[in-house]
Amino acid sequence: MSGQAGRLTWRLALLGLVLLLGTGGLVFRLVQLQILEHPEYQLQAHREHQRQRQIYAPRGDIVDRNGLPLATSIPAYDLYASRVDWQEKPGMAMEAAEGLAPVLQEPSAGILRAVLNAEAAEVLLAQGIPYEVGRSLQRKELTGVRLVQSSRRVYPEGSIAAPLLGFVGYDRVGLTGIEADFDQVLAGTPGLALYEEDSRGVAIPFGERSLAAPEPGGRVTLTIDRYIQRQAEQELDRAIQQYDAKGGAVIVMDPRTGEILALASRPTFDLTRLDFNDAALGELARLRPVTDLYEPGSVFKLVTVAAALDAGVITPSTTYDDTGAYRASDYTIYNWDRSVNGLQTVTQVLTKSLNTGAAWISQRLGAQSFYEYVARFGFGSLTGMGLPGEAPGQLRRPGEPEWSPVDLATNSFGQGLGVTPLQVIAAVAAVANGGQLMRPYIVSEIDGPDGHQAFAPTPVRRVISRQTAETLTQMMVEVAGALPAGTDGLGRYQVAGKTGTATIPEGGSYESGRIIVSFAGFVPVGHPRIVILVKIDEPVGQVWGSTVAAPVFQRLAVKVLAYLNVPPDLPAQVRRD
Amino acid sequence: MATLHRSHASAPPVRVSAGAVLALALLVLALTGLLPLLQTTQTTSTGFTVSQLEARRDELLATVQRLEVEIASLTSLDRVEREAQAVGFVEPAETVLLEVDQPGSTTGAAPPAAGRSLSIAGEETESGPAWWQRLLAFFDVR
Repeated sequence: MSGQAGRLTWRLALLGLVLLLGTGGLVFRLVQLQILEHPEYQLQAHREHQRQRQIYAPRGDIVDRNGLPLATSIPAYDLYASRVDWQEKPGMAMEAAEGLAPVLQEPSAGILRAVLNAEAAEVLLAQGIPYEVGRSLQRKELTGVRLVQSSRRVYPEGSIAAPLLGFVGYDRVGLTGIEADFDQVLAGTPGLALYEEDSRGVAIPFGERSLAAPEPGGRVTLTIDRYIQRQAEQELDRAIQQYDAKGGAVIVMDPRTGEILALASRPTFDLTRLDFNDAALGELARLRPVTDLYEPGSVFKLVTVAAALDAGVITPSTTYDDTGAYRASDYTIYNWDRSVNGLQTVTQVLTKSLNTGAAWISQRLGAQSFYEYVARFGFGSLTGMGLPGEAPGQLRRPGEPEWSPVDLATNSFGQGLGVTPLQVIAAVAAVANGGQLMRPYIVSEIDGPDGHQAFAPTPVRRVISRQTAETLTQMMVEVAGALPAGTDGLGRYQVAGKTGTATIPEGGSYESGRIIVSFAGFVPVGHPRIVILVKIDEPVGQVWGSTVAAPVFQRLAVKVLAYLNVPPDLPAQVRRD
Repeated sequence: MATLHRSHASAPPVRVSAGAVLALALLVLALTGLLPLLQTTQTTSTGFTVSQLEARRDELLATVQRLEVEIASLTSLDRVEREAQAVGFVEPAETVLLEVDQPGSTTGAAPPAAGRSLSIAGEETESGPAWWQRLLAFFDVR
């Protein structure tokens, strides 16, 4: 009997050992998986379940001086289709394509083909789909279709100030204009959502999640007034159409502050129908009144006369004997109409816009003094308005290799130098502002990531004395009053202005026959409230600044003065009898 | 006489069957297991509600933004001009600003309400407010 018990004992022990080893192995494996390799498996599990999604930040608004939006954003959706999903489920892919066809306004077969033939695993089919349309597509739960919340830029006032506002690209980054220059303010900061989702792709409620809220884009407030801008553009379009011109610009400025109330230029583009494949878009988007140079012509005589008055070398009644020609170095200067006018006062030189008289005045002033005043008026340097791409202008000065004495004569009547329309209006505004040059500016406030910033009017320097400014103003009143059909319609408002008709040089000569006409003036004279520069490029026919540009000034000034409730110089009196 | 000493013996032990204990333990275990299930169900349901509310909030925010843009479009200059012309407005031919040779109100008192301030022809006003105006002022009626 004891032998049998011994055999049972060792078998039992063996079984026990096997079980023990097995259990020990299991326990060891459990320890290895649950404790030693726990972080690795936890990470793997997180990766399988954790998802992240960028939350778009609404792009900020660009508003006019009254807070009315010129460019704003609305929620929209971007539409993606998964090539992989559609390849795996062809039947459902067809169904999905048919569901998308009315939205994309394309045949379903074409949509299917485009997605299946794509190289990328996921294809962007459309951007900026209206919000309601996107939501309805989401509810349909089409196979392989993904909708990502985004935004779309809209322009409530249409395409006004298009080159100034600029536009954004497909990736919602500003490409031109204010959209580009203030992209960091307008873009905002996208948010990020981290969450866990199950095997069906549904977010796990109260699973691990964190959220970085998006920061909406800031707001840029312009000095532009939408009504004045619109009127300026309409009048510019009317003149361009009437005279079959190539383009032009109209700028309206407050001379007291330098605020730009309107900045219109043609040619332009349609903000509401952007075509990024249009090769001309870059050219059309240029802010020409700031970037493009032109020879200002007779408007520049204001600078010549202002300088000479301020230097004391002439008075309004100083006389000049006009023989119709003026000899400057090896060249002969003629009047624009080849007229011979005899004895003329300086005021008459300005009124009749005599090139010979202007050249004579510049000679009396002297080259050094003349170019000093030209620089003081801001020509040849940036105005400092703050928009990139601004041109400083082109000006040859004594001492420079290309300068010759005839430049003094030609520059005196605005030829042989390149200026921007912005520089011209700033200079005329200085006369209106009692001789004080103000920095023109177009952005008045920014509300962005750095908080609220407001930009105040900035005096640059005194260009001419107040007395000189008043004297020149009275001369300009006589110039405006002598216009054939220009400013009569302003009635009780006194206007000070000057016309300009400049030939566009070509190949070093002025025989092209192409001209730029302009008119620069301010009103009312007693308390100047607005300065307007009108510039029309290459009008067709027998046209001059007085017949083309001055009427634009008149029509625009009438509307703007009424809109701003500016009292006239000579009010109508109503008395009780 | 024999004394009966009743010993204070303990109550006979209660015998609980092993089956009852096992049944009770199983019941407690079942209830304990049910609690997390109930909690999870409640959490899931609440989570779904939260997701729905978040989606609804996003929808409402988007609606607000769209309405703001719609307001901007409806008040745009183009539309205002179009609608104004449709109801017969025209551009003014001329705007005249008049300087009226009459002083405006310079008294510190609030202007009388419309209707009550219309003076009857011939009524003397230079002598001050009328008796009924004085009465109203007494009762501080505006």
